[in-house]
Amino acid sequence: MIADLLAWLTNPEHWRGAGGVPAQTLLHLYYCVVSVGTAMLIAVPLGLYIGHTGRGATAVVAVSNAMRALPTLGLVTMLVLIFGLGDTPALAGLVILAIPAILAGTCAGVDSVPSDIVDAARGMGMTSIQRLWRVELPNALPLLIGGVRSAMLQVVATATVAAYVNLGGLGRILLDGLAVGHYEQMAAAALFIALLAVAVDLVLAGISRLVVPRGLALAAEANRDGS
Amino acid sequence: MRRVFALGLALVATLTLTGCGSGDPLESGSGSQGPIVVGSADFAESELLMEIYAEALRSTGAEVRTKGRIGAREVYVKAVRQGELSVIPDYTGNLLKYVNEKAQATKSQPVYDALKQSLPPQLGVLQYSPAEDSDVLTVTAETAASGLRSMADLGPRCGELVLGAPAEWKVRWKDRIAEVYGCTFSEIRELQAGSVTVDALLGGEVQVANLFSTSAAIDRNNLVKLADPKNMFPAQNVVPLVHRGDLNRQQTDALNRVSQALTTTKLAELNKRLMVDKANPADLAKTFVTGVGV
Amino acid sequence: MIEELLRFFASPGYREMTLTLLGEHVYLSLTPLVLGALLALPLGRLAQRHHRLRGPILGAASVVYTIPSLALFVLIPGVLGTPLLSPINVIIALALYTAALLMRPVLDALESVPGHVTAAATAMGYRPWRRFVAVELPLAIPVLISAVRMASVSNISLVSVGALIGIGGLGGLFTDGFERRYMVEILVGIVLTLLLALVVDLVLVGLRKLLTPWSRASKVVSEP
Repeated sequence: MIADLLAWLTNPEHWRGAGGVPAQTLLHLYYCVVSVGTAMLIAVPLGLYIGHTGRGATAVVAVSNAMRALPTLGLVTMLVLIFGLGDTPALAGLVILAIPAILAGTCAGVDSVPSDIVDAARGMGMTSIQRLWRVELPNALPLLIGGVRSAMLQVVATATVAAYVNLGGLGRILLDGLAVGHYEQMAAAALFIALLAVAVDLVLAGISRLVVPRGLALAAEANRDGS
Repeated sequence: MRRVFALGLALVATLTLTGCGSGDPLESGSGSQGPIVVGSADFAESELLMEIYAEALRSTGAEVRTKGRIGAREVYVKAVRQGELSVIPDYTGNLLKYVNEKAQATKSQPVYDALKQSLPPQLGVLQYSPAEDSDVLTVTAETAASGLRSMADLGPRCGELVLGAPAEWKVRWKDRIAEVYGCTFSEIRELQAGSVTVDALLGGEVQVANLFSTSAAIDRNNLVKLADPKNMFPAQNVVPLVHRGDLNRQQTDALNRVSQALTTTKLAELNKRLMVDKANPADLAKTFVTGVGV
Repeated sequence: MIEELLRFFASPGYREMTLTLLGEHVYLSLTPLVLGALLALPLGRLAQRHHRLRGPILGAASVVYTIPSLALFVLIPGVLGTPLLSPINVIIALALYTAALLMRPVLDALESVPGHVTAAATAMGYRPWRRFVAVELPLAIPVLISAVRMASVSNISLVSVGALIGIGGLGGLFTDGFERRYMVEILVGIVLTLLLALVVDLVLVGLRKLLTPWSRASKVVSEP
């Protein structure tokens, strides 16, 4: 088993060309970044609006909870049957799956900003937009990015599944291995998928550390030590 | 609760200790005791044939369990060999190619004879059905009009053509088609058999598609089957692949009866009911087997 | 659409197939829920008692949770030597996800038990393990069940991915419906998955009410 896996991994054939590991990894990553990016463009402004005004917050929670139960394979196959084969319907599925987590994270983030901070900002004469931009958004960042992280996890996993409806990426290598009964190929692909997911998550965790305002990080640390 | 704790720990321990499993997980399980397990490959027609076999076996009073969509031949032949499955529908030509790469036979009876000789001892085939469902390369009517009607026309043009075919096609036919027809496709795109492949062909993503001759999609979309004058694709009669010793006389007879009753026309018709009218495979099988009167 | 749905359910073959797959789905999603919870409790207890183990246990949980399901389904047979087409892979994978998801809430729940309560129990002569079962665990139930609810939803949705390797409960309706372009079949699969998640969730809410009668009497334990 291990020997077969090593043989597969060390075969230069599997590292070259459009079907090779590097190309498919990049493709996989590309799908993920594009769909999570698109989902953010939709969900972050919407989440900020909902969080800021407090309108529709209950609906967001309900919908995003229900969406977690949505079977990804069902969604993706359904979309492809409706809109035809191709990258766009499959990617649309990924965007749909990424939205709830980001939306919920953004809403929860804005919601979590202590009201005395917002009041203080108001007292300093900040307008509604200024408060949103300079107080609520930075304070919401940890939870917002948390939402993006879980959306990304969901999308990395679903992009794998979407190989079934012909999307490229590492799932392609895995399912092709299954089709010809080569377990070592499936295992190698699975290994890379797992590594990719962990790596992407670590990168997002790093980004989170970079962009979360220092004051907030310090406050959180102080809080943790205190409790 | 102490027991729960211990169970949890035991689970963790098992997970850690068995850390390095050995052997190929595709090889599996011990022989089946109890119900006869009938399997199918990962496509609709195979599932339909599985239901037909299951229904025929049930009519003998046997207890039958179905296990559909197991995967490609490379996966399910192992499962039959291990006795994890007792019966699965297969096609003589491809099965022969799988068990004996060098086999040259292309016509129904010689293929069947060669197959019987080449099967490993745990495997057997029952009588083959007159129904055939062979691989066939298809093109759109438009492409055909440009002078592509036979695989013999492919040779010089292959370099500019993309073929859409199931993942296993490359392994089985890529070298063979180069040898027989001097054809090396510019690319072989791996596509799920069936509607995905048809869509890719109609959408122009691929110019040649590997389909199956009983596919309802061929007539519906005016696709043209490329002739195979040099018989590269061997005869593909439907045949039950069995794990030896799992079926008794009466059960074997029942399967032979349904095989005999199944013709290519009948199979194509059932396929149309399945794929176009969306009928349920088990329902179709019941009607068919009742009609045969096993 | 309604007509097509009626036609689907008018077929004995589809009815039987749907019921079989639904039963398989329940088995494949709920068995790991129980196993995962049984795994998370002792591990959570371990992390609570031994601070050195806390980092590694929580770290492992978060890595497991990060691995995409299809990859985990495929890796498990390689690591454990189970047959690739066996349902056991899906069950183990989902049990691991459940345990990973429960780890943090279990730890938080155990830690949230007020010190004076454990002290009182100790003073009453409870030995540590008995105190854990009789005092700390019941107090942790609300938190625990809300985490189990999350895990059950996630399991029920993930099972269908297994259809790609031949074991997927209602996911079988997706692969079959996709090949035959049979939208109704896929729709039935999606709706039944959502309904199953809802029903299990309601059962868990009921279970919490049953197990924590005191929370109705007085709001001693505030919910998270």
